Amino acid sequence: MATTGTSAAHAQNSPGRLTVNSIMGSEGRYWLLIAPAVLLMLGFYFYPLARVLWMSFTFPTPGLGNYEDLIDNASVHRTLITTARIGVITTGLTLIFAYLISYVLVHAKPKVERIMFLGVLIPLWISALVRGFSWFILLRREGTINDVLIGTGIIDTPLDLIWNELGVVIGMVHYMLPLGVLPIYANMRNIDTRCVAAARGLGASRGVAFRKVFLPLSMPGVIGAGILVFIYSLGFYVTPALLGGGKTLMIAEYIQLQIMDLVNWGRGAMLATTLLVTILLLLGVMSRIIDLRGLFGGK
Amino acid sequence: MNTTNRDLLVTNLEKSFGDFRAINSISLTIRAGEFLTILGPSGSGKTTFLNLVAGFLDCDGGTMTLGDRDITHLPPETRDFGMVFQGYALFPHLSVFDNVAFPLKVRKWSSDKIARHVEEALDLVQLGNLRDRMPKQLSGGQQQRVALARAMVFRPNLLLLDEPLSALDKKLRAEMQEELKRLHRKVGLTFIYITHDQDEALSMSDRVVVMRNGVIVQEGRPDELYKTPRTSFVAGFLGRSNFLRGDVISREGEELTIRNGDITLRQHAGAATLEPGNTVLIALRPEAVSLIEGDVQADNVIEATVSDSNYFGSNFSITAKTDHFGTFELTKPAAQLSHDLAAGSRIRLGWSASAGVIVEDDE
Repeated sequence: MATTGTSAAHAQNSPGRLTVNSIMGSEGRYWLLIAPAVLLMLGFYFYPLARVLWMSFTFPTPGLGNYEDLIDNASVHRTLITTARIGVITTGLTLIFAYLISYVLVHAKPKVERIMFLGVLIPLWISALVRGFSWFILLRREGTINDVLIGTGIIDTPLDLIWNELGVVIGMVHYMLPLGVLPIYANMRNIDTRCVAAARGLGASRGVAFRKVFLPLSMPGVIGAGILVFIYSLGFYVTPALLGGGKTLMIAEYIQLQIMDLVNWGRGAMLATTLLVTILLLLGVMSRIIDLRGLFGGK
Repeated sequence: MNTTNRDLLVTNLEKSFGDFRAINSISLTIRAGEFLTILGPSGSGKTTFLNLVAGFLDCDGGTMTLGDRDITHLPPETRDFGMVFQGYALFPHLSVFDNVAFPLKVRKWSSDKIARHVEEALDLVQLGNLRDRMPKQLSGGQQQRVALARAMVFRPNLLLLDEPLSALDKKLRAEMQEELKRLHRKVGLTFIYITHDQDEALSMSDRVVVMRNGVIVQEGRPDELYKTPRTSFVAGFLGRSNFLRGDVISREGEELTIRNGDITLRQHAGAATLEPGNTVLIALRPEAVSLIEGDVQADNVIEATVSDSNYFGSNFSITAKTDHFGTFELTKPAAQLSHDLAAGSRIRLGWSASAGVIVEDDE
């Protein structure tokens, strides 16, 4: 209200002159500052994205033909189920490990905490490709882990730790851990430790105090981390492609295969659309249940 | 009910953090049903002491027994002590009702018994109508009351209060002081109250324990501590005091003659065992000093120059520079003051031999 008032007054004072303020209100000049970024996003991100999505309805023939694959194509089914399964398993394991790490972090002495925190962050700064190949060295049939296990006589034949779903899950959980730790840790930091002490003083054992006070108070961080990790997992490409060995196909690798190798743009675009819509739906449902803005630091 | 059997007996309690001795051999009996205040400046060890009693910290030495039960190393949840934290520590994810019901739920009481006792506790702190609110929807005073209800609802053996009023404004604090005294009278529970506020300690407690540097400096009824502080620290921390130093030159029965330069003072020895030759420190309350006019006699009279005079409605607070004992402070009821007390005016200060107290110098 105040904005329109001042801009109207301004327009009266300088008749015939079109100023930024008279068109866009007094906040207009700030919008101008970010206009280049907005234009870049529109031209180089949303436009091609929209073209790809549009392609899923038009290529090779207009209609919903590509989407019929969702119902009756076995390999599409397999990919979707694999993606969902790996996403769920990765998210579950990541949350468990991230929770444990965060719990230890917030309860550690400040000096130890700093060092441990660096241990969480450093992997985040290393490319997924490098981390994928590192796992390759550890997990392959002639890799470090199998060598040690055979050398010490625990097993006779090497374990298949890579080029299957297990390898993908190991690599992905490792990649996702910092993403899981950060929201959980940030949330735990803000829990008033006196609440836990109060619970103990009021008669709750260590376990009950954790379950009834600390755990519920840390849930917003867990849910935030869960959403972040699950969405990231669904569209993840590098690690599954490296450690899955072509046998465990997740949706991102499958899309790449369709477009780059089979030149099946229609199916690729359809799957990309499906992935995007699924993620938006998930976020939509979650935002009805919980306060997403609060979770991601929006307020 | 056998009340003596529920006394809390603390013997030679010790606690160190690294090289820092936070609690240095404290022994104290807390009688069942009393309102005991532990008073001390920050860093005196009073909060550490409370945490040891509550069981949040484990002591390095000494024992604690409640009645005939040794509680020295029991975990906090088995001690059955209610605790009100500084900043309340209400559970932010639980409603007022669930906060108060928490200690009963963990004790696995039946739900109708829980409902009855929670209602009762909320009524006791006059919050019956706010049971469904969340803590963040309450004012500071209301949160304080919820914390009290939660700490008392399970009929604890005693109630520990850690500076519970420090976050409240002055008016609310006075109200809550009254409320706490009322609750204490009504429920007859032992209260151990931690504070650094001498007014709270004096006005609320049956007994005050003054702590400093991890040891108990003095304990006693509020009026005892005020009238007969044992050390200069107690005299200065609990109320205000003027300090006078001098050498004992003679003793006749209870009466000492003390000299500082060319001034001679008369002073009752009190509990102190002193002989000529000793150096003594006398603590003198500002309200025990009179303004001497005309030829009025007093045991001790000294001269001073007014440096400041402040009006507080009911009384004046006067600061004066004495010739021998540094700055003096005295308070006079406004109605009794006829002098012109502008800064720079000369006055004569007098007091009786029994007004001052000989204290140990521990500052």
